[in-house]
Amino acid sequence: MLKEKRNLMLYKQDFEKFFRLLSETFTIFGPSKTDGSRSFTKIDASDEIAFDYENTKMSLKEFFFPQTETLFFFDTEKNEVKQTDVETNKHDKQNILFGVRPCDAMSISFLDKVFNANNPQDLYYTRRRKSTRIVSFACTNPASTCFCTSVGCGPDSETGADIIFFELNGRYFIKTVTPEGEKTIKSAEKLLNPATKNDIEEKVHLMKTANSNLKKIFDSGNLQKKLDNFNAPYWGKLHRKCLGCGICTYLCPTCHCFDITDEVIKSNGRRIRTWDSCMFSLFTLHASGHNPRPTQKERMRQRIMHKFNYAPKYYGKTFCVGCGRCVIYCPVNMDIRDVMKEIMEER
Amino acid sequence: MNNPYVPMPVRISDIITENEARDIKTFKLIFENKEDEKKFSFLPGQFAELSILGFGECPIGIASSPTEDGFLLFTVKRAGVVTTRLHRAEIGETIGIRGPLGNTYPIQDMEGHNVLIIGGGFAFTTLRSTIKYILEKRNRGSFKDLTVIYGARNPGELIYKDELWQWEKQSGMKTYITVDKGDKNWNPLTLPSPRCPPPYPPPTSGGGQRRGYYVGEGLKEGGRYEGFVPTILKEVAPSPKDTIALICGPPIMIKFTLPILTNLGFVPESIFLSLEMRMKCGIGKCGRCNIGHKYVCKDGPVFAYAELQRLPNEY
Repeated sequence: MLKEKRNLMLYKQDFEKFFRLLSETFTIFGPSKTDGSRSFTKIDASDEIAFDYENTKMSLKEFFFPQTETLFFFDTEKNEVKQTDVETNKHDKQNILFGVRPCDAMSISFLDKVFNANNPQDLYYTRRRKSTRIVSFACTNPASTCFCTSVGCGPDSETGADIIFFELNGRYFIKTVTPEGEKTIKSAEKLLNPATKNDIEEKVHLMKTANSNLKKIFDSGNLQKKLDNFNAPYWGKLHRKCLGCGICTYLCPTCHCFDITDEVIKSNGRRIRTWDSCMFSLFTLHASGHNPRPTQKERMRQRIMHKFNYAPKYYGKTFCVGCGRCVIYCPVNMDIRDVMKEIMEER
Repeated sequence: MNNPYVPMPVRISDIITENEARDIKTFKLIFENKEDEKKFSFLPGQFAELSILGFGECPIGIASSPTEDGFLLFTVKRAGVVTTRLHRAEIGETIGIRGPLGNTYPIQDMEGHNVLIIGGGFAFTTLRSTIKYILEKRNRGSFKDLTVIYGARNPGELIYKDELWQWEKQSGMKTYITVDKGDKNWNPLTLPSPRCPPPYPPPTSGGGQRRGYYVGEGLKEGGRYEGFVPTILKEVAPSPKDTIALICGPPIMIKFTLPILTNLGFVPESIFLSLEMRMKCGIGKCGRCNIGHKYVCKDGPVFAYAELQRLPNEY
């Protein structure tokens, strides 16, 4: 780990130069104005970055764990496997994800536990992860659907980030979090000045305001204990309005369930993995016809339990970062914060 | 770097149709590459993903024992897309394999103890692996008494028949084979010995069609029965003292077997079950085979009953 995290200042008028220096070594991805900050796209010039976004619609996970990914190609006639050249994958160039929200940065640190740290390592994820630096952007103006502080994250959380930016009046306050973060800004060092006491005070004040705008709705630590009751009565009613569309799991930055299927045209095929969702009835359907999670009740319970009870036991972390995407995009207004409140209030 | 998603090529060197319904076949597989074979080091209880390009993968328990050199056995029931395709495979065809996956039966803990093996239907596969492993000359001394109770719906549905008839006669183990319903050939196979009375009174009214024969002519110990596995278990179970029980079978068999073992005095720590769930990756990443916070593919498929009691009874 980095012995000393450095606090640096960058004037906004120098940002364009800063961006150009970094893009000499790195391919930069960020929320772009052109696609309405839907997802992280390649940014060629600094003015393409949408600085005023609350968060991208798609979470950051698709960058490391795309919705569809070829595991390998094959030829059914020759009965041959041709491995994809993960080496020359575009993500193997050094990348910067610029303007990541702290919740998304934290979510990547959770996915690391699934794909990166566990034995065996997931080659596809790991390759991309290794070649990518995450530059967070602290949230000074959180959305009404944000609840990061309830799940141990926050508008200025550094977990998962290599560098974190704070937007002050006319300048950026830059904090290096990891040694990789230090290396990332090396080429632009001359544009950066050490932060003064005033700068730090301004930043602290800024984040105090942001934090005070985020109400703590529940305590995820208590929640885990509460959820140990697998047969609690609320499971019988929470799912009632759920359509099972799965949008919550697709947009969730920590949902990582996937399916593996084969696609073949004539003799050319590929084995792919695609995002899957515990909200779908086919998710656990056995070939025998037996389905251990036969109704939406069991599926909803699986989703909540996996995030708030199983993951803490398995990985030591609650697999929710409070980004609020599932709250915003649920077609029937299922609000996970209300679900949590209901669970917490159950006696 | 090793890619855990890419299967290793294996050649089908033999196919055995196991049952009368002809929907269970055993595939004998030989590695195409010697290095792959060396890497594939496993113990009884583990499984692997069998892969057919263009069809997909399915997780199947390894039926051969690590003591059987040079090949792997997989007994597969025809059910879904991949298994149906597999049943159409011919000898000589090359398919793929990923593994070994999952944990094993607690072989080390079983050493120095009696082993009771309870199997039902075609779930007998990894238990066959265990039996073969224990019976292997160099391993046999490490374990005490071996008792096998195996049941199927009818005699035609018993798998590994040749080996079953062999085990019946083998010294150093007791083999009890039972079918829910016998056929006309089932009885003559075991002639009741005139020297030995049945171990329990003849069936009383309402007791079902339970018939048992004790130590038939030519059989060392054990015997053939008609009745459900739990019923037979109740009659013939060895003392729980110093015994570890392994169970693999249909849920209904497990449901009625567990209380009987408990009543006999088996503690939950000495009972081990092998479970199944729908799986994809087999390495604890794709997120679908949860039972409570455990993944069946990675933390299982073998669980101590004591552990399962701490997990939710549903999924």
